[in-house]
Amino acid sequence: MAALHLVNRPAADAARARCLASLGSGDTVLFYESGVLGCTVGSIDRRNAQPNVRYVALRADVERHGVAGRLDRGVAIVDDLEFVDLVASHKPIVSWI
Amino acid sequence: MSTRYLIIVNREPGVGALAREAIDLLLVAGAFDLDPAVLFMGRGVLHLTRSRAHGDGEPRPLDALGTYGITRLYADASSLRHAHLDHAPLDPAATVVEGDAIGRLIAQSDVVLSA
Amino acid sequence: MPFGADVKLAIAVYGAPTSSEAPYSALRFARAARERGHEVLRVFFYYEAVAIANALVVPPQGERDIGAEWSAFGREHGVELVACIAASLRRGIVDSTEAARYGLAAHNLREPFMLLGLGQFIEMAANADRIVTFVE
Repeated sequence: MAALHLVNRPAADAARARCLASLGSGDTVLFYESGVLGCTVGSIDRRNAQPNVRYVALRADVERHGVAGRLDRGVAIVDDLEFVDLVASHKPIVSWI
Repeated sequence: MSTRYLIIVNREPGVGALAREAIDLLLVAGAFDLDPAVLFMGRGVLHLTRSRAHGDGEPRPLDALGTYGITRLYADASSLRHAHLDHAPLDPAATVVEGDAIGRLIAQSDVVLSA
Repeated sequence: MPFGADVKLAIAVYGAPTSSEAPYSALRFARAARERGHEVLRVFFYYEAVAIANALVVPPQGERDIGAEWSAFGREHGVELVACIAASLRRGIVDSTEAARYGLAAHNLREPFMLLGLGQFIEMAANADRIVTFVE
């Protein structure tokens, strides 16, 4: 199973950078809380990334932060139920501090 | 097959509650025979130097790791560089790992706990 | 592990309600997990998150009472809400047993929270299919 990475920090944050440097092929990264702020257009750098990494952002936080129309096209919006589904279908779950 | 645990330590050492509680988590995991691998990242790499701030020669909670059966220690190379510890001997000794190797460490784990 | 089957979930919360969004995000996740029909084995509050278990909290008018919301969730779904006992004592959150033990003037543990040791955190992590941690 691929890993699910949880990131609640915005773009300039060191924890976020550490996460994005530690991904495996096929992993999913879920941005939530202020982590959605680093997901705007052009923010997803795939140049040195692992293949098949999926980026998603939690809907409630996307709407709360008003970035719904401005997300990078590589970031899909997921709701809370889909978040649960991602947890069920990934292993391990890594929370980045 | 038994569960493979990885504990990522991000918190720096110190006398405050958060610092102590991070190490407590580590030691209890060891005491319960989880046999975790431990990865020091971010400010957590500061655990791997016998810092003068804590008094040379004073026992650190981390010194108990071996007693609790925790022997597989890793340190993030990038975090060590940021902390200017990349040319220092690590104490306790830890295997230095770069980005890709960290991804593999995570992929080889069933459960990742953050301390 | 078949996708969609009943997954045993453990939830850890590290961030406090006054300085992070962790307890809010974790509650939404916990509710969604129940809606999906999964079992939530336990929710373990550690570090500053033990503040959730303080019953002597009065949110200002118009603000959510996240502690009360967690209590309601725990009761409704029969989910154990646990605050780490050592972290709680450090921060002045005590139940009647601990208050008596240490001769304290009062106790303030929110119902139906329990004070348990870190061993229960490890046991939770070991028994669950997945553990999700909500950090500060």
